[in-house]
Amino acid sequence: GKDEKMVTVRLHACPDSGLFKPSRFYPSKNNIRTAWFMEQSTPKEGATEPPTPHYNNSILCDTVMLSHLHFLSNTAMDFPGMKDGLALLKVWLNQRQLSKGLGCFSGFLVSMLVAYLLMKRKIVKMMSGYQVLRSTLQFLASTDLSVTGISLAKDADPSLPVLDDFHQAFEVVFVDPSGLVNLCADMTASKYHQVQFEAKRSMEILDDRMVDGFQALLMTPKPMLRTFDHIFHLKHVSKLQSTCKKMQLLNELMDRGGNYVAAALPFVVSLLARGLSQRAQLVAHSLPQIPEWPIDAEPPKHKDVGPLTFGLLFLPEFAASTLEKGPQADHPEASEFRTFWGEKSELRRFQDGSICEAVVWEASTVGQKRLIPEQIIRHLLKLHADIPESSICYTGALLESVIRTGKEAWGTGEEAMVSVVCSYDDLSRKLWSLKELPLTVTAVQGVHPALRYTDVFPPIPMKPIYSFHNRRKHLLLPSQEKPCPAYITPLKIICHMEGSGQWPQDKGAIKRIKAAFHLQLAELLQQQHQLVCRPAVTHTDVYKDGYVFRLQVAYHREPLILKEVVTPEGMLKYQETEESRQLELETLHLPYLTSSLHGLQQQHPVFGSTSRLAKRWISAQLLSDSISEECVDLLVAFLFLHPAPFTPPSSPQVGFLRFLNLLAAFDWKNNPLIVNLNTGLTDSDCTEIKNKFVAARSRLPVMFLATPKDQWSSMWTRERPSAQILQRLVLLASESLRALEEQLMDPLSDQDVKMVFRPPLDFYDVLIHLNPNQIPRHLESVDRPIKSVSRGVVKNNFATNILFPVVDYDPVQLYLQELRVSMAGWGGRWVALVPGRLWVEMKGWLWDSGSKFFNSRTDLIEEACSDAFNELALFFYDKHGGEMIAVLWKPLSFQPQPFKVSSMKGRKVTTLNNELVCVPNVEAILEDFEILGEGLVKSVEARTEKWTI
Amino acid sequence: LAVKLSERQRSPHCLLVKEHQVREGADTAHPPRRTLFVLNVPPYCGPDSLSRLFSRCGHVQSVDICDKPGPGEKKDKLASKFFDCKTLKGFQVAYVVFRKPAAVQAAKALSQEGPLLISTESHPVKTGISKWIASYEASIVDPKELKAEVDAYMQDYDKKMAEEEAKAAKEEGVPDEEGWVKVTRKGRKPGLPRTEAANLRVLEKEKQKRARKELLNFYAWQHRETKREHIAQLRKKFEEDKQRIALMRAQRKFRPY
Repeated sequence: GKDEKMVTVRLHACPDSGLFKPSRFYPSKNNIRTAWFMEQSTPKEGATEPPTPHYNNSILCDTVMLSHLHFLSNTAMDFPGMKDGLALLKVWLNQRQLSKGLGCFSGFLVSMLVAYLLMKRKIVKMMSGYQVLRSTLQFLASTDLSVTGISLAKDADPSLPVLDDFHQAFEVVFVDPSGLVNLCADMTASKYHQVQFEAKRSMEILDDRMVDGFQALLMTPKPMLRTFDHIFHLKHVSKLQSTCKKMQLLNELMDRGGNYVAAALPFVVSLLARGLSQRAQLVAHSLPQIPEWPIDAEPPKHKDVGPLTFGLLFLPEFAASTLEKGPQADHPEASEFRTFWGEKSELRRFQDGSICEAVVWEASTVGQKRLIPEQIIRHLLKLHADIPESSICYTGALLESVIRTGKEAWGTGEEAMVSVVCSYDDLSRKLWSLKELPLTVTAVQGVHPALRYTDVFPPIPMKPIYSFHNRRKHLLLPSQEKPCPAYITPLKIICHMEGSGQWPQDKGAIKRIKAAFHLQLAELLQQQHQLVCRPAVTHTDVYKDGYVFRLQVAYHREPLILKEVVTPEGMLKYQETEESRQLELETLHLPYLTSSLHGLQQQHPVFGSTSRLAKRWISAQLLSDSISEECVDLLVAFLFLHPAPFTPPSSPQVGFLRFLNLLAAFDWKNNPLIVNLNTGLTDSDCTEIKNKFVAARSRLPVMFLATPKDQWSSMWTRERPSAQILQRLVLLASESLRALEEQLMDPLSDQDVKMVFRPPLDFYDVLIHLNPNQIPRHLESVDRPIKSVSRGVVKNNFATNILFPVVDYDPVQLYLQELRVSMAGWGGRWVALVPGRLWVEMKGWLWDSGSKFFNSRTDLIEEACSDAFNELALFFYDKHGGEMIAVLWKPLSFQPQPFKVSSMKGRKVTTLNNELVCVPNVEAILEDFEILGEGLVKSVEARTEKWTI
Repeated sequence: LAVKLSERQRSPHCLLVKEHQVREGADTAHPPRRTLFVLNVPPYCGPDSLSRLFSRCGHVQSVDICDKPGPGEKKDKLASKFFDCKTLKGFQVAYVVFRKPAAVQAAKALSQEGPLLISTESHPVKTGISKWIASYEASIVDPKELKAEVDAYMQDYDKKMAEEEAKAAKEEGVPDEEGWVKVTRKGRKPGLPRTEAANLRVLEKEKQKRARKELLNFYAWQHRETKREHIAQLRKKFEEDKQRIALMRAQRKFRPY
């Protein structure tokens, strides 16, 4: 067919079957003399030679190759299912990176395993490929070959070695039909445990009807970086030479023919496994692969196998504990414990009165606690394996620097988030117990992302410095001469009021009553709890513990009243309006989402950090205004709720990598993303959603998220992102993922992980540079500014009776808003829009991921032309301290338009071919950019190389 | 007509001016012949600055700024300070009403002169930081004032509701000139509420009633019909499934190696 590729023929030289005497190669026999290996002339007298099982095994392997081939082809005879099953199994192994390298679980091995199962009648020849796959996985999951080996040899020949002999010599035992060769000789126990773990996981997935097993098992690659929570590299494997010396592994070295990597690896891995036994459920390592070399060149040295990679999969409950409790001091195991941990081990007295050996690791913040395994690994490898810290390259928390807040002490902000939530709980209790309110408060629900642990930068308690602001009576105002005050986020809280017949049934009246409630809440809080409040029409701001909460009263019937329409016949109808939808979203769905995600955070402690990383990345790519925060939260929640084929992430880094992969690899066009929050959806619900989705695809948003409470409408993605923004996101995600994985997997590079957090700017037409003094969130930028200016606040949370600080004042956001509004409708409605067209054009775009970062410009622009919005320019900004606003013209805006009264906005009249036409008045518009942002804009840089006026 | 914000600006915006003409009907807010229709008003140019710009041509009576041209509706001055305030942004159109028709002609002749300045020393226009600070200040409301307004409105509202109720109570059960009696929710025999949901409920009930009465397997043709329908349904489903499988096959990119 057309898939025809070059065929590689591999020649294996193997000796004739009668050349060696098999009994010479029993696993307990020695075939390499120590003296010869050490290049000493005379053997030492009386010393017994150690057995060389691996060496023997490798020779035997060559002698029995032909018989294995015959054996397998005999087994496969009249068994069609075996071929299919093996193909599946090989794909399964390959997707998990288990089938290549020294000591791998190769395709040959798995064929032999199937043959074994056939022999044991676990598989019969009638079985289909799927059944073969299933029974093999079942066997792998339930049998530990490192404890109970298996043998293909049929008749028990008493002269042959028994399984116990093999167990003594090898870690994993699977003996071939001849009864001499261990097929798993090179495999480490840890590798087998990984296979076993994967098999178990896969069985779970196969049994779970909610997951598309085929997709998860066979179609999703599981590279180490995305599988394991933490990864570390051994930069130079030559350091393992000293390990061999330190651990006295001369015999093993001899056995492996001087291959110090293979000799030391099992010992290093078991050392780590012991050290992390309570914290990690799996310690895995990459397989050293000997590169191919041309036949006329020198064979590669042992150090050419490249860096070794280790992966750790944690148990979330114990991974971050600071204490390693050992045996009691008077027990015999105590000394063993002490030698294992070295001088880190000390005697400690515990609360229950026992005195135990214990190791305590230093970590103050949650972020640091997650890195305790790093400390352990560095310590153990140095102590026992003589590997210096410099040659270990640990990638566990490299990305967390971008969500780290201000001072070092605040860590990754998780503690800050917890204190916000505490303060909020206290406030809600106070609201509940508020006296003298005409109606009682029925529910207090937070809606701000910080209250579900997913705010990128959690608010920090602040107190304003009076002298920094302009004072007008009892008001603090930002001053014009000084830099803009720090941005204080109002934390929005919805406060549901009891229903009552007293509520008016009219929109306007409800609004006023709500305003009255805001006033009263402010007054009562001030009287009864001495909180500083500032009421407004739509909310009341409460200053508490250094945070500002924004209370908003809600009445449960208000959305309904907004929906009311009276038809001409006098019939009362309910119709969704923009206003009612918005209100419902805010007072009903958002609180629910917030509480569900809050619950998720309790189950998976790194959910919040992962989501924050994801949001940080999106805003760093200037797209934060084009996709809603809730949508990102849901995407991240999906990773935790439906991790198949992985395990739920236990570190933000792996979560973030999987987020990028999800964005890039999910088939947004043909599939709905079902996020089963609180497992509120059953199997049949999911199928129904999928069916309806297919039927109504063209009417649904480009990114469709279904949750138990929102099965058909995908409310968080209804307007944003648009098709072209999603396309760009997908592209950016796949490129970022590629770049990031390359960097993280290559320990020898300088690992600048912030690279993926710097947006490509040559894509945009105009850059508006801003004055850093007026950017209130400048400290949050990816590359933190070197010098910072005072923002007129001090960190403090014990302040009562002060003037209200400046809240929710961000000049950049105001500027952006003004820009967007003034450029909207700039061109009138002259883009002819064919409704179905967007979809036709979408066909090609979504999955064309081969293109690079920047060359998709033309596609995007073409798409933009057919955009439903009639803005002529798009504005992009990183809300976390970005220093510039990027502007993208829509290309059709430069085409001359016939003169029309409604399309004159921002244009000037010229004559073309004796006809009056109007073109955008670009110079004036550019100057408008400066005028609108007076004091904020430093300069406007027009990149005219891509467009002409 | 070229305008500039200030001296520093190099390239001006052009305002397009025209005498306002109405085809039919009286446009009370914008009397013809005295009104100048201005297009392409930049966003930072408010009514005050416009009226100052044109005051050199004659006395300006009023300036109306809207986001698209249309008949000027009478602005209800009732809109409160705190509620339902709309802000227009972006490039707009404006109607400038002069006292005298002559001023319109004078304004049309303005274009020969140099660009006009919107912001001058004496009347600066706030943009950027200073504007935002001002609007932040404006966003902070005085609780007393707000309370007073809310109270006033609610009193009004209550009064209105009470009046309506009283009127309804008075009309209750009293036939109008043609002798019809209006059935309301109150009174001795309350009617059904006139809502869509209630209507649907009634319809549903009706349907159920009919279904209960109907004999399904009475005639032979009924039997045939159900069978035929069943088969058609199966066929349709089969076709759909086939399509779905084709789609699935098309999107699958199976590349394990």
